[in-house]
Parts: sequence; structure tokens; C-alpha cells
Amino acid sequence: MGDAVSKSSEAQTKPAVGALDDSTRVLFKDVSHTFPDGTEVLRNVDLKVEKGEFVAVIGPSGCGKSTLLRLASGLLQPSSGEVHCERKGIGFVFQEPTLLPFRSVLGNAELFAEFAGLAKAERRNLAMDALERVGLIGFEDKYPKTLSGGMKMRASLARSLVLRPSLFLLDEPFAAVDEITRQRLGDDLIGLFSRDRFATMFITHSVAEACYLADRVVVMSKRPACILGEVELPFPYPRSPELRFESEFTERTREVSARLSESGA
Amino acid sequence: MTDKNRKSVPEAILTAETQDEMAMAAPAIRAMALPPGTPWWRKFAGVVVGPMVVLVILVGIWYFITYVVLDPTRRFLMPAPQTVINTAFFQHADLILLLKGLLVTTQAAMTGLAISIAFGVSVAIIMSEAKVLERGLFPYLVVLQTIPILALVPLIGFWIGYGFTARIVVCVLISVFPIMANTLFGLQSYSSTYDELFSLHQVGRWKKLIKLKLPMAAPAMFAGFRIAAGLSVIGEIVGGFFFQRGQLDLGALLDEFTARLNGPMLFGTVILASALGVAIFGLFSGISAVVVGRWKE
Repeated sequence: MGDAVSKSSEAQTKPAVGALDDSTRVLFKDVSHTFPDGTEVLRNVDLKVEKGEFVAVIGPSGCGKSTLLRLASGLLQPSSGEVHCERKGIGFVFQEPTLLPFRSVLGNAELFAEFAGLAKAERRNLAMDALERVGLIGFEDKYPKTLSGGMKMRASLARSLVLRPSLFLLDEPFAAVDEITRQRLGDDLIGLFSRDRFATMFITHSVAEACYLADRVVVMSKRPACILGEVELPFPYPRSPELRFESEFTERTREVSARLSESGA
Repeated sequence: MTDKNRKSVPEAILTAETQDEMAMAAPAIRAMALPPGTPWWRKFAGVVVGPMVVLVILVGIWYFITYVVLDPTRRFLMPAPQTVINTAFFQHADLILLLKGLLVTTQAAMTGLAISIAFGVSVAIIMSEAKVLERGLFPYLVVLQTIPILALVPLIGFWIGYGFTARIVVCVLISVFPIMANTLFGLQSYSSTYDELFSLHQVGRWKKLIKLKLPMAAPAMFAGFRIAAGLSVIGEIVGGFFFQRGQLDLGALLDEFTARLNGPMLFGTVILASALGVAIFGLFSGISAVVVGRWKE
């Protein structure tokens, strides 16, 4: 399966050098993006997400972090530069759960398997398996309106897990839930990641969340956004909440905060 | 609906200028329901006592007009309730006449409603799929709505005759707009994130319509069907009132009883006609509750 390459029209004459190799899931090469209304959101972004790597992207709100995910997933084409990404195995989780209100939790979990044309029995098995992994067994016949915000987000995660993505793109997925639920969902995500090791790009505006979840935190500037710096978080997975109180961890958190304050946020 | 926008029930219904707003008033109507856990007899009383009191007052006014306001020689203008019920519903021949009319009206109104639903939903789907058509067509649909149908009715008679077909046409003209407007509104009332969700998986237009847009539109569509259900009965009766070829429907009977100054039968016909409207409205409310009620937020 070849990787999908999105490039601007002027870049199309250039050969696609440095396309995805086996260990790279997403590659941004000198990517800039301007919206049709003339707003420049991204400027000269170079970013690589390796196989099995958890990258958190943090930056001031409205800086173009979400645009980065939309470029990676192919929902948007860059104005200039190249984006390489294996489009087949993407799981995209939006800020809102975007469940279909007229389908049960199980029906929602089956959706992508249905799009992929899997047989009924097979997609039911996959969906039930995904629901079990996010702890929603017993709720499969409920409709989204009866679920809490955190459970809706779990259902949304399960929906994306069904096709076993090799790349997870999460766009501030826990921004709309309360702090306690947010931490619990974070731990659940770490559990899922530790087991499946999908490459992950996680957009957030919380320093604590970014540092706790990711191997690597990418700090972006305000609009037009470029990458200000990266901080490695070399702590093994699965991580436990106690990590938050270790001095090594707080040191790294401070570094991310310092970088972020350079962004003028 | 946020608290700021929340209107009281009558206000929400009375200030609803468009069919859409009427559909939006639906949650306000539902809010009239008593909180869960209310004992059954209080629920029953809550639902029944209010309307019963109003009914008693209305019937009282009716009796007052019949026996106090009207001179005995002019009492045929407003016959007493028991006269109406006796004449219209307890005289075998008269009852048969009315029931036959009711049957004809029901058949024609349901046919008209079915055509309106098929046509209205199709046009709304086409308009939502092709913005150019929506921009081009919608103003004329609004114009269609503003033309007094009564002015068109004689013309329809000239063009296509005075039989069953003409009644159906009037019926469709009157009932199609709320279906079209509500379906169109429903097909566009979901957040754009769902568009992204479906584009990510390269879902085709047709599949997206079936799997996303139509189910999302269902609540608004049913609100439209309910309004149209009542209108289709009115349309059929207006049609029958003007076009009297073929079997007598309630409209034709209304005209005939008016001409003969037959007060009791006239009132009986009106009662049956409105009962039919209420029944069809109730039918669609029931279908809507089954189809949409369990998931709608």
C-alpha cells in the first residue's frame, strides 16, 4: 500500500523524496498552510511521527494545531510543502464525540467497519471487542443521549479502535469533560497505547496532559504557527498517575511550560 | 434549546411564524409533561381535567347561544349539541351518509398526503444535494405558500376537471410546503464535524445521505409530516367543497348541508372532519415517537 502524498500544486513537479519508510507514520516537510480567507495558519513546519510513538502537540489556542491533524489525515491539502501519511489506517478522534444519535453504542462502534464493508458478524465481534477495551460492555444497547460526556468519548474512541489503526489522530479529545473524567480517560488512552502501540498525534492545550501522555511534546508558536521546540519524556509505558509527582517529570513539565511561554501565549 | 431562548408553550406556538419554528416549539410542548414519578391519577387529572373544563365551558356557551341568544325561529343557525348528535350520529341514513363521506375524504386525504410526502421529501433531498437548485427553487416554494390556494382552486377545476384528481391536487398544494421546508431544514441541521467524519472514510454521497443525513433529519421531517397531515384533510375538504363530481366527500356534504340550511348535519360534518384531522395528526405523532423518540436528545 503506497502512502498518500499531498502537496501543493507548485510542489507537484518535484519528485516525492523522503516518502514514508517503514518506521515513519507521518511526515511533514516544510509545510505551510493558508486558509482560503487569507489567514496564514502554519509556516514551515517539519514534523515526523515514528511508528509506535506518542507525540503531543501543544500551543496557544487557535494556533493551527487542529489544522495539522486535518493535513495529516488528508481532510485538507497543504498550501505548500509535503505531507506524507498512510491514510488507510487512521483513527481520527474529534473534540466532540460525533456519535450518531440514532444508533446505539454498538451501532456507532460498528460504523467504520461498516464503511470498510466487513460482514455483519465480523463487525459485531470487532465492535464488541473495542467496547470491551474502553469499558463500555453493558452499555452497547444504550443510545448516546443517555451517556455522560466521558462515556460518549469512550464510545468515540471505541469506534476508532475497531479498525485497529496504525495511526491515531486525536484533536483535543478530552477538552469538553471534567478534570476527573479527563484524567481517567487519559489513563485509559495510555492503557490502549501501551497494548497496541499505534503511532499517536495528540492535540491539547494542557501541559500536564501532554507531558503525562506523550513520549515527545511538540510546542508550537502562535499563528502563523511554527515549531518552537520539542521535549522528550523518556518514561516507560504504561505510566501511572504517581509519575506526575516525580522530580524528573516536573522538570520536563517546566521545560514545556517555558517553551510555551516563548510562544507568546 | 437554551434557557434564554425558552419560551412558554403558548408563546412558542403562537410566535412560531414558520413551520421550522413550529417544529422548534415541539420541545416546549413536551415540557408540559409532568415530571416522572407523578402518581397515575395526577397525570390523568393533569391531562384530562384542563381540557374537560374548557370543553364544559365551550358547551355551556353553545347552549347559551342556542337557547338564550337565538330566537326559536332562528335556532337552526346553531342547533343544540344534543340535536346535532342525535341527527348526525344516531339516525341510520344520515350516519351512513356521513361515514361514506368520511371514508372518501380519508382515502383522498391519505393519498394526497402520501404524494406530498414522496414529492416534498424528494424535492428537499434534491435541493440539499444541489445548492444551486435550492437557491433557485426555494423563493418560488415560498411564493407557492403565499398564494391563497382558494384563488387557485377554481383554476385547477378548469384545468384538470372536477373529480378525484383535482381534490388530490388541492390537497398536495396545501400540504407539501411544511414537508419540504422541514425536511430541508433537517437535512442541514448537523454539525460539520460529521462531514469530516464521513469524508475521512471516503463515504459516497448516496451512502452519506442514507447513513447520516436522512436519519439526522428524521425528527424535523416528522414534525413536517404532522403539520401536513392536518393540512391534507383541510385541502381535501376544500377540494371537495368546490369539485363535486364523483363520490360525495365531507367537503361536498358541507356545501350541500349549507345550501339546505341543515344546521345539525353541518355541525356533525364539521365534528367528523376535525376528528379525522386529529386522528391523522395523532397517528403521525405515534409513528414519530416510535421511530425518533427513543434516540432524540
